[in-house]
Amino acid sequence: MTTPEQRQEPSGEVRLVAVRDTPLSVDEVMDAVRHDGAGGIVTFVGAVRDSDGGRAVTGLGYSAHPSAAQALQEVAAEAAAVPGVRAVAVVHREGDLALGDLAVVAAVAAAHRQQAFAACARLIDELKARAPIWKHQLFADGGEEWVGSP
Amino acid sequence: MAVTGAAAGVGRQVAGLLVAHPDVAQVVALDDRTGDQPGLHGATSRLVDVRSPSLVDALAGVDVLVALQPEPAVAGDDEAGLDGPHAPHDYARAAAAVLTAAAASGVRRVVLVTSAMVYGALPDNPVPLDEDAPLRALPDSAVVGDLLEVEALADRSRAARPSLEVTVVRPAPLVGPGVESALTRHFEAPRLLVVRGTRPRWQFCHVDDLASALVLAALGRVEGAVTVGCEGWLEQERVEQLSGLRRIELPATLAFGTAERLHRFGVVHESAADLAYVVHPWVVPSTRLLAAGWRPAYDNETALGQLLEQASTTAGRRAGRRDATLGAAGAAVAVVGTAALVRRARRRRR
Repeated sequence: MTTPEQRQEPSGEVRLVAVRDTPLSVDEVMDAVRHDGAGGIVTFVGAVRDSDGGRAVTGLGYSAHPSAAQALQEVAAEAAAVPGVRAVAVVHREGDLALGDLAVVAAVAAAHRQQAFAACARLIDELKARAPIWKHQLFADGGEEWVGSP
Repeated sequence: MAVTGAAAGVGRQVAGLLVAHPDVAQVVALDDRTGDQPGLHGATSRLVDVRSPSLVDALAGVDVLVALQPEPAVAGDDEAGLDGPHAPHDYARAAAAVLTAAAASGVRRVVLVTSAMVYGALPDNPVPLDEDAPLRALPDSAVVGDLLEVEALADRSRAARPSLEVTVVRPAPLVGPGVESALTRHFEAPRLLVVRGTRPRWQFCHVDDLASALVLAALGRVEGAVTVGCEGWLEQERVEQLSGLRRIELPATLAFGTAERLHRFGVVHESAADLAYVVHPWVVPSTRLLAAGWRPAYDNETALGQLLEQASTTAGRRAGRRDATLGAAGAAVAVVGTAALVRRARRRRR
């Protein structure tokens, strides 16, 4: 006899993946993952910080390789395949951003909160390691710096 | 094949060896500066900021990349670099961008350089270490923290992008023309510090041997984690004989306590943890390279001879400068310890 836990669960859905040069919306990403079977929705919002390595940051820009959206799609699909996950959405910004602007928004809806927390954390870690997106930081001291994604 | 940092130093040396190698069809010399020397004959030179996305275009047609810009801390480790606000993390940051660009442009293999320091200098280290030994160094100093970050990046990249091979070369302390490091500063001291009850072992890696090792790594003859250094090691007594420097022996609590205070007061960049690297063994075996037929051109005694020559030159250049105290932790402790001995001898004479 097969118990409910032993049944092969279908993968969750990847509802939204994008790299955009316009401001990101948390509501849009949250709405994308709404699912009747989800008991927990975890969102991650990455924003532009005012300092890095002890230097004051005045602004930054993201430059994405054409393959970046494909990389996001892959990591989102992997998150969706985690048992219990119902839906995944992730949007990354490119172009020039000001302090406080949203750089990335991700959301994972899962049957239980632990599954949602774990899958969302892994999604962001993988995104940072694999998406070919460079950050160009501008510092208050006049300096600038490119930072790769891994 | 491409080499970043090819305008000068070990990068230029590696690019030159690759140009001359019969198995290498084309060499792309990448750098964000033109360098003092003329362009490398036989290589295609491209000016590029290796941390920027423009590296992706510069890597068009490249299948192997040796990342040597900025020169790894163990190779350069100059005082100017250490003084910069971000300098300690430069190689790790560049390595991150290089891995991103390499993956995006379809590069098959990336070769990074860290240091044998990542194994940590510990009293229970076997001599020599196993090449696949766990990395037990602690990120207590900026330099070691940077090296460990590069190792972590390599691991992360291997897990995230299995199609991109990442080889990490870990040299023993580097020696060679123009190489100024904490090690050269250690030998600028009037005496060599020995912590009572310890048995230091000395091993070096000449930059020429690092360059030939990097060529083998670029060709894929060695993979994964690759250590490189002179064969064997020198005992402390032999180092004292060869250098003509006498030892100053201090108890561990005094030596490490002094190093900690000197670091806290800003007298030396190195932390007390860095002192372990001149106290405990961290000898590496070059196992994979030797199995691939590589042989070092230098032995430890010859390398030490070059190091001592370098130390006498840099000590003279540094003399009288305000930053004369920027020496290595071991050297600084030796200076303080020697001064204390001198004071005690004077008091006795009175």
